Amino acid sequence: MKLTPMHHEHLSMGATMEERSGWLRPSVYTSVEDEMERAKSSVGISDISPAGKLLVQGAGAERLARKFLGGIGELQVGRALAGSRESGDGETFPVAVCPLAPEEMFVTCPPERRNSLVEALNAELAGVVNDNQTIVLDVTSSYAGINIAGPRSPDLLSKLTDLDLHPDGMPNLSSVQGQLAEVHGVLVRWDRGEEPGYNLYVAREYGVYVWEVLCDAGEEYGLAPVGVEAHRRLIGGAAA
Amino acid sequence: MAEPDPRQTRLPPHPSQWTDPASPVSFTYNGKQVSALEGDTIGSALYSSGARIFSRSFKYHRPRGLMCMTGDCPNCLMSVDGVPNVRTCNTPVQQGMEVRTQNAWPSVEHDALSVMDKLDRLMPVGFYYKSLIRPRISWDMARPIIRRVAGLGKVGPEKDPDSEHQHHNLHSDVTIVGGGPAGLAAALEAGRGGSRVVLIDEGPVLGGHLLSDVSVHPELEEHAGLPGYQVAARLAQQVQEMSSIRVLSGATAFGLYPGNLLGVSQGKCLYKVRSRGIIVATGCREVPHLFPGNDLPGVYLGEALRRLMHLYGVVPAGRALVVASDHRGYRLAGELAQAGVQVVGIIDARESSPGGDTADSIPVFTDSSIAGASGLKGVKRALVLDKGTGETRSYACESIVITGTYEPNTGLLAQTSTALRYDPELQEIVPEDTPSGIYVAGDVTGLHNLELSLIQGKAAGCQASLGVDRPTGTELDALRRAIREKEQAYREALEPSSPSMAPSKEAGKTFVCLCEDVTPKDLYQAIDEGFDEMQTLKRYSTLSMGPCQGKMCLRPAIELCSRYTGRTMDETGSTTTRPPLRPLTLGTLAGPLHMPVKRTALHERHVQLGAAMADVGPWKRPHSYGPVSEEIAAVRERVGIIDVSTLGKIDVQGADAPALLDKVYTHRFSNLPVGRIRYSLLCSDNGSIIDDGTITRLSERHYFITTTTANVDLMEEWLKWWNAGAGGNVHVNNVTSGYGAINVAGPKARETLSKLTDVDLSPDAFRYMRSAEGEVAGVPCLFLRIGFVGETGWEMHFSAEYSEHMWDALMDAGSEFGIVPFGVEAQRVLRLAKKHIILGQDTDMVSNPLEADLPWVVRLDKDDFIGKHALEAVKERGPRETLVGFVMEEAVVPEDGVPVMHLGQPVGRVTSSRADPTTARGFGLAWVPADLSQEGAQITIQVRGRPSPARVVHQPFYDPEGARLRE
Ligand code: FES
Repeated sequence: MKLTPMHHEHLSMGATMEERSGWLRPSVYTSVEDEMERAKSSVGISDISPAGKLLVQGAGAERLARKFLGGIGELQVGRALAGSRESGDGETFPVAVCPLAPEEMFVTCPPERRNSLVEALNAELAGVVNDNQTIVLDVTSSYAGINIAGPRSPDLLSKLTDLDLHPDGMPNLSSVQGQLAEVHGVLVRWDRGEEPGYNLYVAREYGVYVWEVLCDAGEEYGLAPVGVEAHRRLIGGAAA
Repeated sequence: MAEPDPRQTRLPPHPSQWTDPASPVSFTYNGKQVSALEGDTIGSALYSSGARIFSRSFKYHRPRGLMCMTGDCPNCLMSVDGVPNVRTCNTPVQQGMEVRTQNAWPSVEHDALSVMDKLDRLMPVGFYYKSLIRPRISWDMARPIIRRVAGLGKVGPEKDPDSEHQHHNLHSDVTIVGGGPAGLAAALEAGRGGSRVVLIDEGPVLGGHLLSDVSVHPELEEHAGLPGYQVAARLAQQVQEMSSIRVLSGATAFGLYPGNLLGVSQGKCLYKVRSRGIIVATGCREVPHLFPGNDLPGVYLGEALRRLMHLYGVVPAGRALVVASDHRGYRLAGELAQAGVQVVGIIDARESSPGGDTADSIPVFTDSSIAGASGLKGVKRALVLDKGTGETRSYACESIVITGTYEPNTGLLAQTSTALRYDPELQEIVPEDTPSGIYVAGDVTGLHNLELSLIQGKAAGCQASLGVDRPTGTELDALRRAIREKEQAYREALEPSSPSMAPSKEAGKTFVCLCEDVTPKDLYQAIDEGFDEMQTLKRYSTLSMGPCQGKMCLRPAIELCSRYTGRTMDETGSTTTRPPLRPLTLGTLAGPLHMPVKRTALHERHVQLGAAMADVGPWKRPHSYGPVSEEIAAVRERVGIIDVSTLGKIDVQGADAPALLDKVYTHRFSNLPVGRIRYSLLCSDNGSIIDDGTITRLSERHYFITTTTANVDLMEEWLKWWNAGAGGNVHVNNVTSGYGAINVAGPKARETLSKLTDVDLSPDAFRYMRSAEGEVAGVPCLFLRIGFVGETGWEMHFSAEYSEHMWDALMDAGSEFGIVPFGVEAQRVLRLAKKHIILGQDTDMVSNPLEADLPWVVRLDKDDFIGKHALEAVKERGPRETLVGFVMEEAVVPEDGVPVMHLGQPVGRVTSSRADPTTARGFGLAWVPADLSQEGAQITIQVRGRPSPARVVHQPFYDPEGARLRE
């Protein structure tokens, strides 16, 4: 069984765990309704570490992403682009691409699509780009992923980072790298309808630390840990 | 003082008041109950209950009372709920607060230490520096007494019970400091077009000095007929309604740092506000006049009484004398009279009184000035000098109200490159030009006119938001014209007021600096001793070094100094203003501590096994799970596992990867066959060792590198740097976080692992320093057969999310062989027995591989690599010192780091040392001079201060042939 970096945090917060595509995940901490309510009125955090995370790196990275995700829009550094991909079985699944640097694309997908996406990208790399200068790296295990969403999420984050989180500085569908609670992270703004939301990725070994810092800092807002169940409903089944 | 003084009744309710007679609250003052009203500050409540002495002064223990009511003087400091030095005049009361006075014994009313006041002759200016020096013991004896007598409150030893300090970051287009009329106008103008605006105000309610202003302002067209406090309310309302403005009330901007970063404290929060533009609208404060007795309780600055009266509905009992130099003083006198205070008279330095504003019943003494105040615990009489006749007359009164001298609050500006100059016309030190991105408006400019303040605010708001949402500056030009006109009119209407009297050297106790009890006499003496400019005068006399940080004293001191030395105000200069502008608690600055901790994916397993965890850099690692000797024995005799996930891991791939590694490492890698592992070092240009690790060739163009735990980030950068320099096609990725790693070692390692994998681990199929990929317990793994601990073993790397699964599977499989987890300490002993070095422990910044006894790692026959030339030079000159193994001749164990001695001199040092479990003798590694480095050489090691013989050993102490490793 695969465990996320924050596995024992969930256990100590009394979460009921469930298995989903090979990962043991917190399905619910208090109750689905309570978690949804608090996340909607204040701020909620969810462990999204199982999401597939790939790095497409090299001279052909942009070309590959463009080809692969077709019509995805301007691949500008600092943006976050939502696309979708058809899988072998005819279903489509959501994919997000954040250009971290001109030759570096950070791609996320639902946990169960991780392996097939790596394979598909590698196949495409050999077939389409074939420049011997571009690679696809599966970095799923390298990052702890935390979704932070709700009306108070910018307030919560602004306690921990001096990044400008205002929509002027960081609009929906943008990404930035910076320090958060003294730790390097990739922050992707991913609003949930009208409510601001963020996906934060930090090195796996900092997962527990960052989770705890968020819980502490969010106490004053009544932060709720949000289980898989409530999280799914909140995002309406979309995105990683 | 348990009951409110019956003479003190509150004024009838008035809309300007903040206090709510319907909501009484109570708190304790030195243990006694005091009743107050909701809306009171601690200061106003105590004052209304009859308290007049609020503190005792720092040095002479003189009684001091409310003076400014604006938080600018040191007189009202008390300890509130255990926090010392709280300014009670602007701290709102809360039910149940515990308030205590400080620096007085037994009480502020009867302070035994007031005897100090009579001993001033013993404490001349600078006595800190020039007395009690010889004999040296005298200072040691005096210090505890001085500490006891002088000083401020005490910090309790307990932890702050609710130390919930928070830090926030804010970003804005325009930040305005000061919520008075200018600040409000600026905010409205800047926010109008949608700029992001932050408005920082010290008070609980927006409005600044307008809040205590009950007079009407017919000159304001927009607000004609409204008293000042209603104008404030109107503007504040508009600000609150504007969604683009974020208001921080009760907040102090204490520092303005480069990059337009403002430090702001609000209760237990600290805000770091970054903005494109900052408007400083901090207003001004009144400054005290210098006359004997000017520090007595009962001497007030005008604003103090305005606030007491109009915000809290309190007035002083008895008679009052008002010192005025413009219409504001007259107006205040009128307001006092109306509130029932008997105003004995108005003292006006001007030759004729302009009349106006005052009730006719108040006598006006023109061409006069205040010459002294007397009384024991408060003002009883005032001396008034008639400047025409030179006569002084004495009046009985309980209050002396000082008005008319203003000083702009330029503290924040002084922290920038703003030029502050003395304006002789305004007789104030005002900002002349500000650096770009910083604007000023309102009373801080030295112009005290409401209409002008509003226009200035508007203009500043307009200018600061230029470029954000305003394309042109035409509007701004019009505003600037209006400012110029009004300023001219203002200056023309100024009446020349003769400067306030400079006290003579003989005058009784006049205080320039209230915080540190500095008198003009002290200053004159210090100037006579040569400290004649402000920077040194300050240090010598301690002027302005107290809690008010010069807010009350700096201006009068500059004036005194300038007059005494005959230089201009600008020549006299000022002191350097540094943050914080107002005192902060250390807790506020510290905030919540964020100490990043790295935990491996096996952290919980270690904790469950009862491991003693050690901090290894930012990582938490198990030091040991039980007796270290047992862990060592298990690895030697059976099998042990250790979590090595902290190892730095770098993935290097690309066509030019072999060339890159040849370039940066001392060994050769282009010829390393696929599936093989090689140990190597990495040096800097001067040949000193930077890092070591193993390099595994996974495929023609793909390597997997391990680095020391601490150096992985440096290695990643180093590799990327040299690759970029060579323009090579190599991808360097730090994959440390992604992989869990466990080392399985010991004679039973093979059998343990074989139970979980199909990979053929037999000695011939899987040789030492080879790698393979395969599954263990269903998890894809990279096997590296290496032997840091000197036994047959494999280091397994796998996706981190499987770590616990892997650990459990191994423990399970090994249980029949007596598997044991071992920690960092056992690993250290085991590797030392094999003479494997630990970088940074056994080497330092200047160690090179040849002298570190690792010549086999360096391929000087390679084309070129970083450090090659330096190492060739070392080889040519021969080693100077060498890292060698040693064994003690006796059963003693030296500590890491002790010296190696020769002929009574230290010539080297022990880097690592542990006890041999069988002989109890110490062994380890040491740097020794080259001539003491041959096998068997006798050396002496200092063990706990005693020289002890040891012998140099070249072979590893354990399994010198490496047979066990290769088995
Ligand atoms: S009276 Fe409180 S600081 Fe002056």
